[in-house]
Amino acid sequence: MKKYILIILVCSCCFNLSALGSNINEGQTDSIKRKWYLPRDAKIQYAGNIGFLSAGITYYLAKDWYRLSFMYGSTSMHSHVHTLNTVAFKNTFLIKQFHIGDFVVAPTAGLSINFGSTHNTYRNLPSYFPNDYYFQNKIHFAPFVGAMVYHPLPYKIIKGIDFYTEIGTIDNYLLEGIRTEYVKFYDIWNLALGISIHF
Amino acid sequence: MIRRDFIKTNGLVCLSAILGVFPGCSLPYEYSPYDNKVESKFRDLTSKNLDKIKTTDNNETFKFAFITDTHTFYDEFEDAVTALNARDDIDFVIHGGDLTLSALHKEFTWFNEIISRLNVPFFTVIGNHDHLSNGERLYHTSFGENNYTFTYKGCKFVMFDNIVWERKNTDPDFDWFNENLKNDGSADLVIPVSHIPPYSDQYDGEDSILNQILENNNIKLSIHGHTHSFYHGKKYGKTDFLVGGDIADNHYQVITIDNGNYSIENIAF
Repeated sequence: MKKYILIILVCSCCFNLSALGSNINEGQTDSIKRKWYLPRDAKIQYAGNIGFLSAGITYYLAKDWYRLSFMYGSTSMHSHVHTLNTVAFKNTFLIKQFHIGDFVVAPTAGLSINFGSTHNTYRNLPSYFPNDYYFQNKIHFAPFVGAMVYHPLPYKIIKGIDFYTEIGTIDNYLLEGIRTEYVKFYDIWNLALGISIHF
Repeated sequence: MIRRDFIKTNGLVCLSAILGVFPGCSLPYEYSPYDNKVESKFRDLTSKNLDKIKTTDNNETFKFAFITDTHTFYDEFEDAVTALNARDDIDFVIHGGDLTLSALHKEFTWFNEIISRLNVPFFTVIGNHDHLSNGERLYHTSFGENNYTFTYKGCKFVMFDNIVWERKNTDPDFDWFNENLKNDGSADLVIPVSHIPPYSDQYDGEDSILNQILENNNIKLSIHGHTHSFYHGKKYGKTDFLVGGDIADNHYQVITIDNGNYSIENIAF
């Protein structure tokens, strides 16, 4: 499992670097030549399995249709629990882009890899547990589908804004939705709302 | 697009999104799989169920049912609730712990939805799986204290959180357990219920503190789950152990309490 996750992360990073390179070359139309480390957008999200509120930055991995967001979310204040934090690597694919006037509307789909943290989440079990006593409970794979509406802005730094909504779930719930009759498929999904400022 | 048009069009979208957050409280938003969000009807369930049996105080014969380790066997769990509801001779149901598999927010919700369909009151102890992630907090919000007692028709039940490893390898509150197992003469029988039996992992069998406390207090019957296989009998000394199988075994147990004695039936459903 750990190897599998590591491979995904390494591939993502490699893909990221190569894609960023191509973006830079293609970015001749940008008024400012973009540094590789500058994010393409910053976002705030409400709900969606990564916190009551989460914030993050986004890089484009393949032109603008494959985006990777690094998100941090907290639920501690909402839940009266000291530790309830999540770091997410959110892969978003823009399936199709529709240009309607000055707006761009895009259906999206993706997979978020969420690293949760509570006082009892384990990636590696403490030594007092027998080997393989539990499957790790720190990392969750969270698929989602959604839609976004983008509008360009006539400013030098903030070049656009988008609003997005998503319907997502996590691996554990998806498994129960498939495995059991009691958990209906529509029971496992939940909503998220977000707003992004594009640079 | 001129600025006025932009503000007008985007403002409407923005307003819709923001307003969506507030009615969204009743929509299926989920902040985290570890979120401590519990519907009010599923809060303080131990207290609510204790209120339902408070008035009965005579020492007549009665029966209760025992189920355990339902985890995410929701379909079998539903079947068990249906089978228990078909009986009219059970006064309440005890669940022996491991209500969930990973102690996630929705797992607690699904558990509560199913067990709340019982026609009779129910009582739970926390299991090792329920301690994972943010589970102890969710358990506390849903049910109440991990350790509690109640007395029904002359029989005292001592519900005890005896989890070790998932509590950062710290000892449970054995002082509370020992103190509450003492019979001051007001009870015909004292029955402890805890998730892990002393002969299973996390304990050292006969020499474990758990077993010593049971023996020292002359406990006739100690009820557990955890091992996923049914067992009834003595292991070390005077104490009989009833260990329920998981709910996927399609069995539950009915315990009859009669004037300080007990008998057990293992019922298939």
